[in-house]
Amino acid sequence: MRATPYRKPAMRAHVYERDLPKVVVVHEHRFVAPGLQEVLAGRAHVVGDTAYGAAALQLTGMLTPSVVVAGELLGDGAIDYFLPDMVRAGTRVLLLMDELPGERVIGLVGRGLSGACSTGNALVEVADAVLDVAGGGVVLPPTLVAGIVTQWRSGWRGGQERPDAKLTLREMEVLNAMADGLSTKAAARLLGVAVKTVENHKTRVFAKLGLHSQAQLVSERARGR
Amino acid sequence: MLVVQERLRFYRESMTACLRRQLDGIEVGPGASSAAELVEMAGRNPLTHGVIEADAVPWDVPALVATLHRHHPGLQLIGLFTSTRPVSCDGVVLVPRNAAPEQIAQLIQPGSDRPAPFVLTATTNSDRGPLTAQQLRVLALLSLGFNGADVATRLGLSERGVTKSKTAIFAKLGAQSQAQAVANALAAGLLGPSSPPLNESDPLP
Repeated sequence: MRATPYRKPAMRAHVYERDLPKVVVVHEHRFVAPGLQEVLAGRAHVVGDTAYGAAALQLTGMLTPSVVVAGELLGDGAIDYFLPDMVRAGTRVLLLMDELPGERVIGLVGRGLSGACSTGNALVEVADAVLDVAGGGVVLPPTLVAGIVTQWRSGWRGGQERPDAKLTLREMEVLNAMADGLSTKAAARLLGVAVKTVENHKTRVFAKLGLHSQAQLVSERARGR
Repeated sequence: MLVVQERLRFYRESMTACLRRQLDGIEVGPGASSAAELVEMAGRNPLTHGVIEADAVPWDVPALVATLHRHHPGLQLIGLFTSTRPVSCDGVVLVPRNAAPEQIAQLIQPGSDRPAPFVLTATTNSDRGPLTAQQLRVLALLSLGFNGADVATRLGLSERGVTKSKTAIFAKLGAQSQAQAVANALAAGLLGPSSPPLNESDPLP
């Protein structure tokens, strides 16, 4: 263990009782895991605790928890980067967020998230959500459920591009240049077109794909989307 | 009596539950969500210890501390902070919000033999390259498509603070734009699962 005070060790595995659902906590705050353990006592066991997404993936592989309770920002990036691997490993993930922006949560649910809970909720409410998700349920605030149903009715498929996301060949070229992190100017030089043209393409492509910034495009591309 | 002041209920109750478990002979009261609630509680109870938020709160922390000390001169206060610039004032011991409950309990009740409730720990290659934890948070949010103003709200920073953070990130990663910074960070393994793996782990007992 490092001697540095207040630095959360990479991960901890706890002694656990058999036959109780196993919970792994990945959160930057160290009181989250013991706090949850206090109220879950006898109903579930917190078997692992870490502040890092990479360590959470290791714990998930080692301990096969029923549910990973995750914070949004981890010691090595946002939960978004680790969610796909956790889901692939067969673990359900419950996200704890200070706020629950609808579009963002719904996007994450499309990528395999099993639930989201606000940190404005009571400890016992969060504990109940942990048990629900551990038992195979999906826990979402009612307001978001309405949004998801609306989207589902209109033919939305989580994790896929929007129906209007047909890109022209030129737009695709611009998209690829942007995904490499090139500036508009550099992309224009690369493609042999005017800067203004690239800007126009960029605006249209971002609108079609529902992107907010080029930084987002770069990270989404790196995550294989 | 000890009271935890924290606006978010889940954090408030988790912290309260942890401290109740850790502390011996100190009553841990129900938490307070705001400065007003804390002051009200202090008026009715023999408060000896308080754990308060010391950054990004909509009230004046030094004024709160002064009021509490007027009620209870010997009151010991611990201020928790996330940002790089917590409100520091006399009579408050500042502790990062990611401190372990045992560490906070140790400050309140020094010397007692407090076994950590865990059986296995492992260390990581926690050197996240050139970026500070806060800079990494800013970059992670930017990479999810949040703009500067969103990042500021979420991390309890000023927009100027985010801009300054961005400038530092760009310099450290040799980037000229947000997108380039994200691309470089991903390539260096600073964001996401490609980051350096754990370098050491103890076997299960």
